[in-house]
Amino acid sequence: MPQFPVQTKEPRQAVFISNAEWYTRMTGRAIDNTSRTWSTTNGNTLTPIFIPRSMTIKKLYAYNGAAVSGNCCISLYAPRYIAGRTSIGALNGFFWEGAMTRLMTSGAVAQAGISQWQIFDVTDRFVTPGFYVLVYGLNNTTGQMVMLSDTPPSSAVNYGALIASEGNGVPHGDPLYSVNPTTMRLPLLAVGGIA
Amino acid sequence: MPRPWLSLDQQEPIIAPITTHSFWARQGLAPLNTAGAWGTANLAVYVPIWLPKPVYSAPKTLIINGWFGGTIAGTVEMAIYNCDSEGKPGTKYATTGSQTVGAQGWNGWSCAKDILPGGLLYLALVCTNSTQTVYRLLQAGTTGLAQIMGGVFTQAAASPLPATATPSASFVDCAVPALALSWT
Repeated sequence: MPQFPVQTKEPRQAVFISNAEWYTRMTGRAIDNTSRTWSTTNGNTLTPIFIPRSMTIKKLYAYNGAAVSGNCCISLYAPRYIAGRTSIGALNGFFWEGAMTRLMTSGAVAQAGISQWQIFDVTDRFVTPGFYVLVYGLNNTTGQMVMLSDTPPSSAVNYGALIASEGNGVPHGDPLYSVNPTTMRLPLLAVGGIA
Repeated sequence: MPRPWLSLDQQEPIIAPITTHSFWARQGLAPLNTAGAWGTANLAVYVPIWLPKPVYSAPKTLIINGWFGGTIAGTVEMAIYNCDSEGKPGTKYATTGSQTVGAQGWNGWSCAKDILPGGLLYLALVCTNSTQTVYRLLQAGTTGLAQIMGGVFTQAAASPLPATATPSASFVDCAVPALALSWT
């Protein structure tokens, strides 16, 4: 009998992981996949992303829409979990209260590239399995993004997304956060493991 | 106190066929499921699949399947690749060899391999003629949507499929084919 292959404890992760995967699992919806204007000047959207296995993140990605404008910022945060609050995002039985520790950020970058992935080269960082938060902000309402969702509040809440407001759309510290699903837009974002 | 023993059977089951559709659908994208021309002769396209655990399939025979359209031209080859240290397509694990599509629909050819590792793998397809039609998950374009959402990679001038993949670093317009693994 041939030697049976040994299953590694952590099979290699897919090169790219988008927030669409968790959005679809949580809401059962196909993504909107439509270019829409950003909803709030200097607004930041916090979208959960599930990274099932250890990986080194080397790039962050945001899918721009049919028009680009101003400056954007994309960051990856570790979430802050709390118990007993139900008025905020819920993730698989946990409650989380927005992003806490920023792991990597693009800083303020001109939104560039129509209807394509904008690629942000960030400092490589090894992350362990778990939930993380991809935060995207834009400093105007002219620029467009391809969205996971337009503004269906139930989908946004089921997914666990939050929004935040901070000057210039650039969350350089702990983002301030507030829940307002009626104005929420969920951009299509991703992390990647190749240089 | 003895620890409870975790049976391997409690892992996610393998339900064949394992299709590229399943990886795709996880991203909330509806597959096109329409036929289109391959577009570029000898372009290899690598599409990921997820195998939840290793497979030892003997005496069953491993089959790699492709869903082809009505225009048949040239030859095709399909193969399984493991992934490299970054998760990109790596080393060729099994191949159908060069084959001629018999008719529109699913066409499958056996591989001389009865062991597959678990985890992330890639199914690759190369067509030697640009007019060969395949059923697609998406026409990828160069925006990178399919590449990043679906983990799709391409490689030019890749017939026969290489022993080690060297995927393109840029987004190449391609038909993302519907492929599947099965056993018979």
